Formats: sequence, structure tokens, C-alpha cells
Amino acid sequence: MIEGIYIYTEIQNGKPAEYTSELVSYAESLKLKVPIRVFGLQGNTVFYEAEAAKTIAAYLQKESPGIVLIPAVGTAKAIFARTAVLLDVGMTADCTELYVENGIFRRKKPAFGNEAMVVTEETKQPAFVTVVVGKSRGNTEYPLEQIQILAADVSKSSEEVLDIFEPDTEEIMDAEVILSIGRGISGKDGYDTAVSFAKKIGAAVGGTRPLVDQGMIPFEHQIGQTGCIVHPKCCIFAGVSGAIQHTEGVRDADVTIAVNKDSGAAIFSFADYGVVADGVVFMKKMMEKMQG
Amino acid sequence: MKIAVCIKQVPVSEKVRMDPVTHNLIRENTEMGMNPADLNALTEAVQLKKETGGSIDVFTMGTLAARSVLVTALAMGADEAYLVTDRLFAGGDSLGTAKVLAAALHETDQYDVVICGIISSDGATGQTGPMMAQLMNLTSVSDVKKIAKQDDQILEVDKSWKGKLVRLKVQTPLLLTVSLGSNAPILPTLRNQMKAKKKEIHEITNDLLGLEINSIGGKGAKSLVTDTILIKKSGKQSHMLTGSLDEIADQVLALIKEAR
Repeated sequence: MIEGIYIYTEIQNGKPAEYTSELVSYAESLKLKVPIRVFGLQGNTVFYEAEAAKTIAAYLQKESPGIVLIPAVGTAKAIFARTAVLLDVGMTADCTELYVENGIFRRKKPAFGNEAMVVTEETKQPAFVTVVVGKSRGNTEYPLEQIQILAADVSKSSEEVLDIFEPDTEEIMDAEVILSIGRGISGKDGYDTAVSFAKKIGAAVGGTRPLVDQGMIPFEHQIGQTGCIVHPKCCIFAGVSGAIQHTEGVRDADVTIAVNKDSGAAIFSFADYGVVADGVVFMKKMMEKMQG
Repeated sequence: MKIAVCIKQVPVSEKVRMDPVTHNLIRENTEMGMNPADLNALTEAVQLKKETGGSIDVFTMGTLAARSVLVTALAMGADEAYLVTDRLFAGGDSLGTAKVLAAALHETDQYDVVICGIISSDGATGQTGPMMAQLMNLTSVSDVKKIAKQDDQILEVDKSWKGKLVRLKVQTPLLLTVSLGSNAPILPTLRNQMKAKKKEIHEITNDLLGLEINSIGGKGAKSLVTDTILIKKSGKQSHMLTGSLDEIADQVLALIKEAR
């Protein structure tokens, strides 16, 4: 018996996170005739992970829902990992599909370098499930007054929030045009070309995980399942092989154009348009065109 | 400060193979290395040690093959390395792993700061670090970009949250999970690599930890994988643009313009 689906959301500046309605529609799609409730934490208490987990554990123990949906974002995952220990329940990470089969709640998550999907279930309730958010856009805002706000007591905490400020790197989440670069773009010349080309066409630069690992682009600009999921109007891939870990993050782009010198690259079974050319050479040609 | 860093050995290649019967990763012939976020975690630890003095102990749970990541960690600047290994630990979920690591740290020393990478590139649950914090009853801060010392017992850390940075003052002892790409990982010199190879690697088994066998490994797992479905490759093919490079460039410019 599944008794209720509870959804955790984050609240920033008095506003529920943009993915709240998305999580609610995941819950509704299960078509279980059980209550769906949304809850969150008050103000800065979200940064006090130990106290936040304790507060949530007490709340869930009282309410005893069957399922708890959690956005698969850093801080929320950490708080609920702690909460799972407190309640002694399992937790499935980064699910992309939820369904009920023969009365059993199951979900799918990508695994093994995304070569496969695995189906998981928990041995105990509530089942903690983190869900990949940011897949659908244009969500309606979820009304704050329908959210149960929990207040954690942080007065005895050994930590203190000093400041919340903007990082000095640009955001790629809201960019209309994105230039995504992969391993085919290497060295200083490759990177500099990509940056000037992006500037010329008014695009933000993002990229694949290997470039982040090499320190070529900051983590905030990593696109894909372990980075950001973006929704640009147009995305240009330069030197990107097309691993699904990366392309999953761009699935909702309106138009995609791939440039790769390997005509057999996997990106050519993803992008709408393909160009067989060296990424750097091609970007230089484009800039030359725009000058003339 | 006494610092502990927990690391994991992961497949380096993106093409990981899976055993269709057991649903486990096939690790033979797969190139292995240190999990990328753990490289960042260890680099932060080495920087912190420079500021505060003290020592860095590095831990990994895995098979004997995982020794190689401990050697890398020693070459990067860790002082002592611990391989936490036992057949009983195999097949565990993130809680099982967290229990084993928490016990191993507890047996070894009392640490002021425990640092983990935020997520592994293979299992990718991002749960082990925070679960350890809960088991060890430590304050935790996740998704940390920067760690600085304020005094001997207080750190100032910047964490990432919803596109912003949050600066926190935190008292030790505590556990931090470091974001992927938060720094440029240390590249060990050849000399340090040679030195690291000669260092002893301590082994910790369940004989020492004495964990209840039903609470760890495959027996203790609460998350079950009930099925595996291979993803079919999509039949889609890109519309290939043809002509001279000049002509193609014009077409691409037109496509971008149209999309806006």
C-alpha cells in the first residue's frame, strides 16, 4: 500500500523552485489515488544539513508517506541522504521515469555509462527517490501557500550562514544559443577560438565532462546528466562525440547543429544538422564569414 | 588539522561494460582511475593542509586493484593510505559503503575534517559522503567550491546553491563534499610518484571493523535493482550539410539566425 506521495522542494527568496510543478506532474502521472503534498524548509535552514535532515525525518515519520520525491540537485540530495540514514530507508538516485506495476512503485534510472536503464525498488517505505529535474520548461509556478514549510531549529548548530552572493562566472542555464565543446576542441587555440566564436554569435560556452575534468571549462558549464540540463533555442556542438551523458542535457534544444571531423561520430545520430569538419577550422571560417 | 579524504576507483573510459546476468560492472580490461570529483577533494585537502598544518589520511573501499588510486593519492600529497577491503563489503549500496567507510575512519583516528568528492562518475548517487556524516554524527556541507581556514577550529567554506554561492562559517569536526571541477587537480611529479609506490598501504578488513554482516554489502542493500534494459540506439540521422566550407558556414549562420 502506498500512502501518499510527498514532494520536497527548495524555496529561494520566498519562491518555490521552478521544478516544483514538474515534480508534481511526475507524482500525478503515477495515477495513484493518494494525497500529493509538497513541503520545503524555511529560509536559510536548508544550509544546516544535519538539522534539516533531523527536521525532515521527524516530519516524514509523523506523516508516513509511501513515496518521497526529491529533486536531484546537490543540497537536496545531501539532506535526504542524511534523512535516509535516520529513517533507515534506501534511496534511488537520478531517476528519469516513474511508474507503478502490479501495485509496486518502480522507477528507471540510466546506468552503466547510460548504455542501459535499470529498474529499481526499495525494500522499505517511504521510498526516497531523487528525480532528474529541468526536463520540461515553461512550468507553471507552484503556489507557495500550498507548500508545507518546515522550520528547523538551528540555534545550537555549529555552523552559520555568512553571505549569499553571485558567482563571477556567467550562467548557461538561460542562454538562447549555446556552443557546446568536446574533446575535439583542444589546447589554448581551440579554447580561444571557441570563446571568440561564441562571443561573435552571442552564445554561451558549455561543454562535456572531459573538458571539465581537464579544467578547460568550469563545472557550472558542464552540460549533461551530471551537469546542467539546458533548453536553448539553438545548440552548436563542436568536437563533441555525442555520448548520451552529454546529449541528454540538450535534449530539449529547438535546433541542434553538430560539427565533427569524424563522420561516424554518435553526435550525427542526435543533432538535427551535421557538418563533417574540424571544429576549430569551422569556427574560424564562420568568424571570417561574419567579418566579411 | 587531521584530515581524512575518501576516494573511489572508477572506470575511466565512458564505455563501461555490464554483465547481463549479475547486473554488475565488468571491471576486467577496463581502464581504472581516481574518481574526478575525488581529485578535486584531495586537492582541496592538500591546500588546506598547507594552511593549517597536520596530516592527510586517504581511504578507499574496494578490491586489491584499488591500491593504485591510493598510490596516486599519496603522490598527490596524502600522508597515509588505507585500503578498506573485504569480500563482505561487495555488492553494497551507498548506505553499506558509508557504514564501512565511517567505521574505518572511526577505527583509525579522530579527524577534524573529512572530505569526499560530491559524486562518483560510475554509481553517481552522491549519497555516500552525507550518509557518512549522519553515521558519524558530523555537521556536513555539500557542494563545496572553496575551503579556507578561519582559525584552528573554524573553516569558512563556499558552497554552490541554485546558481549562487553561500558562504558558511563551520566549526570542526565536519564533513565536506567537494564539487566536481572546483579546482585544478594536483599533477604529481614523477619523483613523488616513485616515492608513493614505495609507501606502505594499510589494509582494513571487517575483522577489525566488526560490522554486522547483514547490514553491509549485498545483504544489507536496501535499494534493489530488479531489471536492466539496454538502451536502443536511436535511428535518427542528422541532415548533413554539403557544399564548400564557405557555403556550409552560410547555411549554419542562417540556421542560427532562424532559431533565435
